[in-house]
Amino acid sequence: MAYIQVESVSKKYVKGNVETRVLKDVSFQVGKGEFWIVAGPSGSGKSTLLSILGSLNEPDSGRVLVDELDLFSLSHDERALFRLNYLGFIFQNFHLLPYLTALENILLPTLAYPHKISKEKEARELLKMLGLEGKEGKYPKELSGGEQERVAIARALIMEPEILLADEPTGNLDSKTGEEVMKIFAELNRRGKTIIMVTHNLDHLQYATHALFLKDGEVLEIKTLKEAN
Amino acid sequence: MGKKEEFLRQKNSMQKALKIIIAVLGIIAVGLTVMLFIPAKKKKEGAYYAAEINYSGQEIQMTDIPAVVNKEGKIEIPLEDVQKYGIVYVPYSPTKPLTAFFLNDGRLAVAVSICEPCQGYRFKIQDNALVCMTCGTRWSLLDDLKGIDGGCTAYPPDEIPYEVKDGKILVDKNIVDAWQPRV
Repeated sequence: MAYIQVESVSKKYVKGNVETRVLKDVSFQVGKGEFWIVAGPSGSGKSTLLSILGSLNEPDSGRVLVDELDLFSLSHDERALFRLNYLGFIFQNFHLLPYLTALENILLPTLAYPHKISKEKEARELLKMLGLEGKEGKYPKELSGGEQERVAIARALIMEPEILLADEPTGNLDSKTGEEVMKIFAELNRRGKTIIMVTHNLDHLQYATHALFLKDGEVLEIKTLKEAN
Repeated sequence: MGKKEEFLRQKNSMQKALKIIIAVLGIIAVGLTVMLFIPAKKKKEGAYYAAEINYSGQEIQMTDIPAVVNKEGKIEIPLEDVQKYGIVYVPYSPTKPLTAFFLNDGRLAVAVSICEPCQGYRFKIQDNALVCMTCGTRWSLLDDLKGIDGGCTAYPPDEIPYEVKDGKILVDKNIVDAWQPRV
């Protein structure tokens, strides 16, 4: 059975009298350890799909199973627990808290854990792995865009998630820094993380195992690019 | 432990915690409902109340005090005598003496001092009960003179209306004069 199973997911938004169907009967299956890139023009439903995969947004119909868990049959609290255990989120705008240092930002998800845990050692190891050694005490404004993105990646990894969901993680970075970040994702995928990344940049396909192209909320094409590790 | 096992373990413990919270909230809600809908014992209208009393382990015999009728035709009983002696006997007339005493909730009771079925005239307070000295019938001072045991439980001394003014219990002599035994 697939690790992530998306079955006939549809979603519409209603604004006033205008109804927009952002996802129409989307289905696909992601295996464990695969690296999927979701591409498509603006407004094709990429970010909505990612938020549904992250259980942050509920579909109007269809279902999403992760590790055989039907996400939308779980309560809100159970979904929060699911996200904490299974998912790491990385956003285009980093979403770092400006009044916390790099280290404190990385440790932020541990505060949401049902019981007290200490992950400072792991956070320092992540900083080292991501080339941020010596930056632990720096505030976001003291870091470059690439460094902030790497802090955001470290924060996504601190709870050792199985799945990374990334929404345009290189969108705010120059091409060189963007490539460096993509290499980090490739390395994380090589270490077994399942990654689903939304991007406009088709150059990133070289790092992925699969590509899903969306247009007007429909699956245009699913491509297998290479075998997963 | 795998992610799924860890997640399921946390989910179960969360559900357990949720059940405990719901149970505790339920108990609190029931408690509050009971407090709201079962009001405290109502005070008897027109009655005089002193502090609550506990007669456990006590035995108080009646003290006789003279019957005084004032110009307004009211029988006067000094409130402080009742407070001092616990239960008083007022020989207003040979067939219609009065008694006054406090119940456990502090309510002052003034009654015709007769146990009507047995024709007993004297009573005592013993262990939160009013006891007829003739037949031994006991009535609860905790529960508005409800019969506890004995032959005359349905007829506690018949209470009559009074008012308390300037430290005196005032009973209308016309009411006492008109009073008739219930049996």
